[in-house]
Amino acid sequence: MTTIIQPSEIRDIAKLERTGMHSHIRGLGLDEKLQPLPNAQGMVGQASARRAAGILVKLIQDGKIAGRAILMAGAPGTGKTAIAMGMTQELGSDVPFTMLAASEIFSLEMSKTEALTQAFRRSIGIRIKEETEVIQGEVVEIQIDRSATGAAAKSGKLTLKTTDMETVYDLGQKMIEALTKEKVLAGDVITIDKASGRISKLGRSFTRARDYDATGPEVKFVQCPEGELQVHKEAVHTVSLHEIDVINSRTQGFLALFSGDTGEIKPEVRDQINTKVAEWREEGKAEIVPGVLFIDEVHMLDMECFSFLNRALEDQLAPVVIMASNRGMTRIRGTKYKSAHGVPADFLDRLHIISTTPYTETDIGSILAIRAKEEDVDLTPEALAVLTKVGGETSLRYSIHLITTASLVAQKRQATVVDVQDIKRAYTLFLDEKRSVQFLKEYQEEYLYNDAVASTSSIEPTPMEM
Amino acid sequence: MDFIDEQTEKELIGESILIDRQLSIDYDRRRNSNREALRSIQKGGAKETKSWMSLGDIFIKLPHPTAQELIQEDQKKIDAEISEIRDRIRENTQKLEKLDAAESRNRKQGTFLSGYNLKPISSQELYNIGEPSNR
Repeated sequence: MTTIIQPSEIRDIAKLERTGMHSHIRGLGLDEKLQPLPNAQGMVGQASARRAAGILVKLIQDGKIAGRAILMAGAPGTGKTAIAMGMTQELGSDVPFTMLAASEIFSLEMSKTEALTQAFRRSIGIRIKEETEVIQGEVVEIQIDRSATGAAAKSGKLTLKTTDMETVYDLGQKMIEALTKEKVLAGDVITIDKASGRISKLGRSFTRARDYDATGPEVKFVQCPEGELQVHKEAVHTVSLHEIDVINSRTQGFLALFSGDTGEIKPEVRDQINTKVAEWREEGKAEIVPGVLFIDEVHMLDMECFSFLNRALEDQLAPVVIMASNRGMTRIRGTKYKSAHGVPADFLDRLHIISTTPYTETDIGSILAIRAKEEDVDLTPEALAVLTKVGGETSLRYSIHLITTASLVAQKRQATVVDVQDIKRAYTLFLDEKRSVQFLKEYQEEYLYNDAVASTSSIEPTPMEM
Repeated sequence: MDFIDEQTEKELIGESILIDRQLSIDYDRRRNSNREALRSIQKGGAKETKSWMSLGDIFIKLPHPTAQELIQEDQKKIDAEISEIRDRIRENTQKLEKLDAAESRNRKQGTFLSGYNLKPISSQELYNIGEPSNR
């Protein structure tokens, strides 16, 4: 019996391929010795942070740092999320990678600890193997003997064939019913699951395509199967602990997986699942695949969350947690104490900290070139130089946004290549942060509900009321 | 010369995989014909207590119970053989894949065939963990 081997496909079938902010990143761009190349796989510059990320990826793949936490700290627009995306690509689709922004934890439906626990368990995968025996073949003939008196068919024969062999099966009552329900005819290629007795039609055989002059639109033609009739199929799946939780938390639990309305899951269920998984590990039925949980804007978490994280990281089944923060010395949310990056000092102590530095002008130029290629926009070298200068003076994000807007301006004057004038026009139309603030200061009387600020230095952000 | 040695190894393993697959097809054919034989003996009319059976080149007339026993034993042996073949195919495929992967230095996806050494799990086991009756 041949084993048909099926790798577990990527589960995100509905992932839209759109040109997002980070869609040009294909990896971390490191060579075999984990040294960062200046411009590879979509990543530019930022050498030390990328090297650190590369080392982390290697440790994750070797399974050596489960339960550790890493903090990526740096000014806005220095590539923290980009490096996280690069790490996802490097780890591959088999490793569970959950990305969330810290403010997603706060919701009315779930407590913070429940949301964090779910996020943790979503990042730990279990690899299991499912096997089924199926009989597959092309139907040569179906013969059903109906008794003259009763309407129920008593017995029948089904002749199935593949390119290598042919055999006759005796049918029982249930099988006959299933066959008539599926409306199986001679010439159909079918699969019968041996365990459940389910029949599925794969299509009609090519050799029978000429049987009828006209067939309905639903008819698919497939090749007659090769090999044996009774095949042993094995499929390996990676499910996350959270999915197992949800499936077992109530009857028809797997529907909750799709609807997303999981609610709070009882700790007893989680305990049972942990013991079951440990059992399976012993018996060799499952492998644990620790994944990565990426929490962006970690300064939005409050003290309760941090103390919960302290505890959760020491758990046996804990993923690698990567956090990103772009704040300097700020207040920890929920208290009046200031701390570096908005993270309490004792928690900071448990973290590996990677810092990202702002990009140099040449780096900005390369990044803009890559983004322009990704967004399908042609820039003249002068336009690229002007854009680089703009990026240096304002911010990287602003200049990336200018690429598409300038290309639309260029389209309006019927040009295919974006030139300096288009960039200038887009620059005057769309303001960056500094100019917007200046404009605001000039015309602040005319704005509604304006609280005039006396200071002429950069605007102080009004403290948020928590 | 290294390349030729590697290729030879890979070709050998590939050959054995293909041979095993052909073997399992032949075994399945025999299994199916055994099954048909068993069915016809079971269904066969009450009058005939003996039937002709072919063992290789010889035809022997055997009483039904003996014939059934013989065929059932044969089936068991074939089933065992087929499981062994399956394991061998799996092992060889993994070996071949490792050789291929080492050469292309593509560690990105880990091992493509990892997880196939696991013992299988049924959906019953997976879906019924939280039941109180499982305690």
